[in-house]
Amino acid sequence: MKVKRRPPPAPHIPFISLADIAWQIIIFFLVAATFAQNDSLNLDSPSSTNDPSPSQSKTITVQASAQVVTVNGEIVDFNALQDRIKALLSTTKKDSERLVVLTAADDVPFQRDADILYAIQKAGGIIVMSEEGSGENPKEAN
Amino acid sequence: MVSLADIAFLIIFFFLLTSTFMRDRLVVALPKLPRTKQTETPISVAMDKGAKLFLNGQEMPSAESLGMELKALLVDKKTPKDCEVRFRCDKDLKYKDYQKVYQAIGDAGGIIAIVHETRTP
Repeated sequence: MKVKRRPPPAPHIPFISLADIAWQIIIFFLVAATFAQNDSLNLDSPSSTNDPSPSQSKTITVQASAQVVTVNGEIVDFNALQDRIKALLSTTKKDSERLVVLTAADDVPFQRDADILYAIQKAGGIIVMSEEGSGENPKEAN
Repeated sequence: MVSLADIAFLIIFFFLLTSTFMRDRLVVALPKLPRTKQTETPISVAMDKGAKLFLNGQEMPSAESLGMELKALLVDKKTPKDCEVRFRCDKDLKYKDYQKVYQAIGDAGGIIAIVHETRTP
């Protein structure tokens, strides 16, 4: 007896689920692209100077090493740095009086430097990076 | 529905191609800071763990040559926003390594935008 074979089913591409998968991938890329953006801390007045002398009497000086931070020669707890600078800047009126000269020792890691710059900026200071004295560690005030 | 799938795949190809051409392919362990703001500047300086310098993905032999290249890139920039330079630096590098980059960017008239990861409080 001759068995009648059924014709093979016509090829069918599941377009509905294909489109669903494609849109899922698009959403993934969109979300990932949003997260790829990093924040940035802008040093609004980037200056590098060997001469932080103008109105030095009013300028705040921050010296940093890997272990110690001093503000105007006094050792300050790292967590209190922002409040200390804010207190010093509270009476200032002009921009020229808000200068904070940062002198960093050679061993200061970038993470620490970024933390200090953030604290100065949050306290309302205008950062001046000084090359003077780099390499020296701040000494403990007597 | 067929054209919808076509459109979707075209968008996927677009994302794939653009992500290949991303500026910052260099892997750098960024410092962590609280949330600040985002910068859109196309100029990017990076310094990896080995203190190698890169400008827009191209390795620079020295900070001096970085400064000269930056000066050329910033010569016709007028507004402070245009002068921003993204600085991606390894968080463990020491000041003696990255200080020359600060100086090069500053001397070229750039505004340093320290790129960082966001630290949750």
